[in-house]
Amino acid sequence: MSTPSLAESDQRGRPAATVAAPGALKPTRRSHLQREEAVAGLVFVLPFILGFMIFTAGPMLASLYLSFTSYDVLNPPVWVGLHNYRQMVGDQLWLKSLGNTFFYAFLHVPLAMLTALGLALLLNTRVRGLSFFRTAFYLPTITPVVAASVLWLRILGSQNGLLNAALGLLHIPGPSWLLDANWVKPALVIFGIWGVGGTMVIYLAALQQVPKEMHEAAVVDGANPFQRFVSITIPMISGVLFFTLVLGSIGALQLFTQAYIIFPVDGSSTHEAGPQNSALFYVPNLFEQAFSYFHMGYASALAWILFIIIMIITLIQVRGSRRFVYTEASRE
Amino acid sequence: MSSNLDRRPLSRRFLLTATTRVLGVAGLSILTACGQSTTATSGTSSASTAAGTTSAASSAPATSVATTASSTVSQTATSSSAATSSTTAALSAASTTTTAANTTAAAPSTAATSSAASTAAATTASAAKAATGAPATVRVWGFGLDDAFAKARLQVFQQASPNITVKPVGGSLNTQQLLTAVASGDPPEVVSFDRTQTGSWAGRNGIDPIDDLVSVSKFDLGQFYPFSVDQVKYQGKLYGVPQFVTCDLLYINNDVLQKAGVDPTTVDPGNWEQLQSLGAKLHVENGGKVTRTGFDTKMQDGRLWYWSWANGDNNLISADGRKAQFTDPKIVEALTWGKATVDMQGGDKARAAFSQTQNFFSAQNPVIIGQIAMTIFEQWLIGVLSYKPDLNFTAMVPRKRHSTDGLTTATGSVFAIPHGIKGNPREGAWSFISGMTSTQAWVDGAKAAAEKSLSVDKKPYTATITGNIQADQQIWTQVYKPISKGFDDAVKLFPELVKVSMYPYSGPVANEVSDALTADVNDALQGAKTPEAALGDLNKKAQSAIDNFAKGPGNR
Repeated sequence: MSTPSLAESDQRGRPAATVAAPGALKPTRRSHLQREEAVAGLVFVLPFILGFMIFTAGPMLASLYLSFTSYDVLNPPVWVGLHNYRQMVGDQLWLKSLGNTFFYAFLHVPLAMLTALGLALLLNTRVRGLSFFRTAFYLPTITPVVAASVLWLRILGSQNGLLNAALGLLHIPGPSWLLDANWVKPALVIFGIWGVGGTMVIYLAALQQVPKEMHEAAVVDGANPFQRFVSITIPMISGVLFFTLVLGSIGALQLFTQAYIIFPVDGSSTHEAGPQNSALFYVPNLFEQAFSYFHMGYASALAWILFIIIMIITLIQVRGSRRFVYTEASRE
Repeated sequence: MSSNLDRRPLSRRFLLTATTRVLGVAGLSILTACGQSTTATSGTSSASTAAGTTSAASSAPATSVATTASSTVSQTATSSSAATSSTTAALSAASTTTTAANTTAAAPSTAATSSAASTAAATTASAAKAATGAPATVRVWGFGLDDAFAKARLQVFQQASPNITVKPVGGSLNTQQLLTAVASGDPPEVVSFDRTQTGSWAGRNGIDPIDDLVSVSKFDLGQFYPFSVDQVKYQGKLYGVPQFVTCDLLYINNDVLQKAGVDPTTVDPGNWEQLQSLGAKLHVENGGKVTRTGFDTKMQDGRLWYWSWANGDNNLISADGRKAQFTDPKIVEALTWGKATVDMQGGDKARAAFSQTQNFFSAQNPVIIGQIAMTIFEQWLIGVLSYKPDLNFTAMVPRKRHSTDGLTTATGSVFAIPHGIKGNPREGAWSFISGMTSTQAWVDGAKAAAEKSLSVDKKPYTATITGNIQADQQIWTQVYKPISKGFDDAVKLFPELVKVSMYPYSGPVANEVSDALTADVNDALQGAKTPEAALGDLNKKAQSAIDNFAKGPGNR
C-alpha cells in the first residue's frame, strides 16, 4: 500500500535478519546461522508452546476422553462409549439451547456488524466533537458485562423499562421484553448491539487506511458517494469485515455472561432461563450440566460438539472469504 | 492533520491486534472445547478490547462474579418475584427458593423444649473437648463470617477453642470451586450450603458422614429440629449439622383488605376457594397492567411442593427419592388451581411484569406499600417489613387444605465436612461446627445482630430461626423486643411453624428436578402447556434424572 505510515511499519516491523539477502552468505555459514536462528526462535516461542500444551491441548484431550465417560468430578470416570453423544439427540434442553443460540447468532452478528459499520462511517467524517462521540460509542465495550446486564434489566422492564417508556412516547406499545418467549432473544440482541464499540473502532481504523487517492480518482471519474462506498470502501475493508464476522460468530455462539446474569439458571435459584427456556443458550446449558447437575462427561461431549459446530462455521466463512475478501494479491 | 497523526499509532495497534486475533481464532475455538473457557468471549464487543487483551481468560472469576451479581439482580429480575438473595445472605439462610426439592416429609416435629438440659451439657462437652484438641486450621467455604451475627458466633467458638484458626471464604458456595478442590484432594475443612443440596454432595462422595464424630463427642442432635436433621441425612447417615431455618408464612396487608371491605381475621389459609376469590377481589388492573397482586401463591417460585402436600399429603417425589409422582390427580388439581388463581388476577405474565417494577429490599417493599395484598413468603420477609415498624399486617401459618392443621415448607443451611478431610483437621472442623451451632453461640450472635440492626440499619431486630431449639426459645422471647402487633404476633407463630415444617426433596438430583420444576410449572402458569402436560413432562424429566443417577458412577 502506498500510505507512508504502512510502508514505514513494514520496514520497521521486519526483523533485520530476514531483510538481509540470504544469498550473500556462504552455504555452510548460512546453515549454521539458520540452525542458531531456529533454536533461538524455538526458545522464544517455547512459553507459548508449553502454555498451549499444558493449559489448552492437555485439557482438550482430557475433555475428549471425558466426553466418552460418565463423570461427576467427585468419582472416577466410567467409560460409556458414545452414550453422551447419543443422549444429546433426545435431550430437549440441548435442542432448545442449540436453536436459541443459532437464532441469536444469526440475528446478532449481521446486525452488530451493520451497526458498527454505520457508526464507524459516521465517526469517519469530520464532525464536531468527534472524540466525544468516539468515546461515547466505545464506552459500553469497557463497561463490565455484569454492570451492563443489571442496567439492561432496567431498560428492558416491560412496565417501567426505559425502552418501553421511549416507545411509549412514539405511541408504540412495547412488548414484555424479558417475559415473552418471542421477545427474549431480540431483547438480548439489542443488548448485544449496544456493545459494538469494539468492532466499531476496528472498522474506524480500517476506514482510515482506505487510500484517499482512490476516492479522489473516483470523484474525478464522476463516481457518487454510494458508488465509491460500494466499489472502494467495502473492498478495502473486506478483510476486517471478515475478521469481525468470524470473531463475532464465535462470540455469539458462546454467549454466556449476559444470558447467565439476566436469566440465571443456577440450581440454587428458581429462575428458569427465560420464559419457556427461550434464553437457554448453549454454553450456559453446558455450564449447568457440568457444575449444577454434576454431568461433567456429558458437558464435555456438549463442548466438543460446539467446538465442531464452530469449526464448521468458521471453515465455511473462510471458504467464502476467498470470494469476498479483497487482498493485495488479488489486486495484482 | 494533527488528528491523523494521533490516530496512526492507534490504528496500527488495532491492525496488530487484528492479526493476533485472526491467528487466535483457532485457539479460541479450541478453548471452547474445554468447556471451562466459557465466559470469555462474550460477543464481538468484548472480544476486541482497547488494549487488545485477549478476553479468553479463565472463566472461574468471571463466573463467580456472575453468580454474585445474580443475587443483586434478582430484585428486578425476570419472571419470578423479587425474592431471594441479599436478605437471604444476611440471614445466611440459603436461597429462599426451595424449589428444589422435595420429599421426605418431615413429620410434624414434636421437638421443642425437651432437650434443653442435654443441650447445655453437650455444648460444654464439645467445647471442653475442642479446647484440649490439637491446633488446627479450619477453612470454611460458603459461609461469610463478616456480619455481626457470624462474628459473635465465631467469638464464642474461639473462646472455647483458641487453638483453632478459622479462615473463612465468604459468600455463597462456588460449586465449581468446591468440585475442583475435592477432586484435587485439597478441600476446605468445612463447607456450608443449602440443605436441599445435601444429597447432591453426599450421594457423590463430595462430603463425608459425620456419625462417628457425633457419637464420639456425645453430641446431642436433639438440640435441633428433627425435620432439619432429617434433611441432612442421606441413606440413613448424617452428613452435617443444620443451621438456620427458612420457612413460609402467609402475609396479609390488613389495610388493603379493610379498604376492600374484607375482615382480615376471616382469612382461612386452608380454604383455597376463599384464597382464590380474595385474590381476584383484591387485585387491581389498570389498562392491562396489574397495579396490585391480590394473592400470590408463589407457585412460580417452587412452592408446588407446599401446595401438593397441602392438597392431601401428596409428595412430588416418593419418600425414598426413587419415584417421581408429579402426575397425581391431586397435584394436577393444585397446579390447575394455581393457574386459575393467577389468571383471575390478570395472568402470570402481567404479575411478573408488575413484579419487575417492585423494589423488594426497601421501605417500598410491595407488601409494605400494598402492591401485594396477600402472599406466601419466607419468614425473613418480616425483617424487610420492619422498614415500617407500625405496618398493619397479619402473618399466618399456612395450612393443609380443608383443615386447620398448619403446614409449611422449610429449609436452611448445613455445615458439612468435605470428603478427604481426615485426622486433626477433621477434629478441628467438628469443633468449629459444633461450636458455631451451640446455644450460646447462637444467642450471642442474635444479640449482636439485634444491636447492629438498631444502631447501624436503624431497624428493629426481627427474630431469627437458628435451628437450635433452645437458642430459638431464648432469641424469640428475650432477644426479640416487641415492635408492634403484626411483628409480635408473627414471631409468636415461630414455635408452631417449626412444628409443622416439611422440607422439599433434597436428594442427589435436586438441582435437575428444581430447574425442571421451575420451567414446567411456569409454562403451565403462563399457558404454554396445560397443567397435565407440564406435570407429565416434569415427571419424565425428574424420573429420568433419578434413574440416570442410579446408573451413574456416583451411585454407591
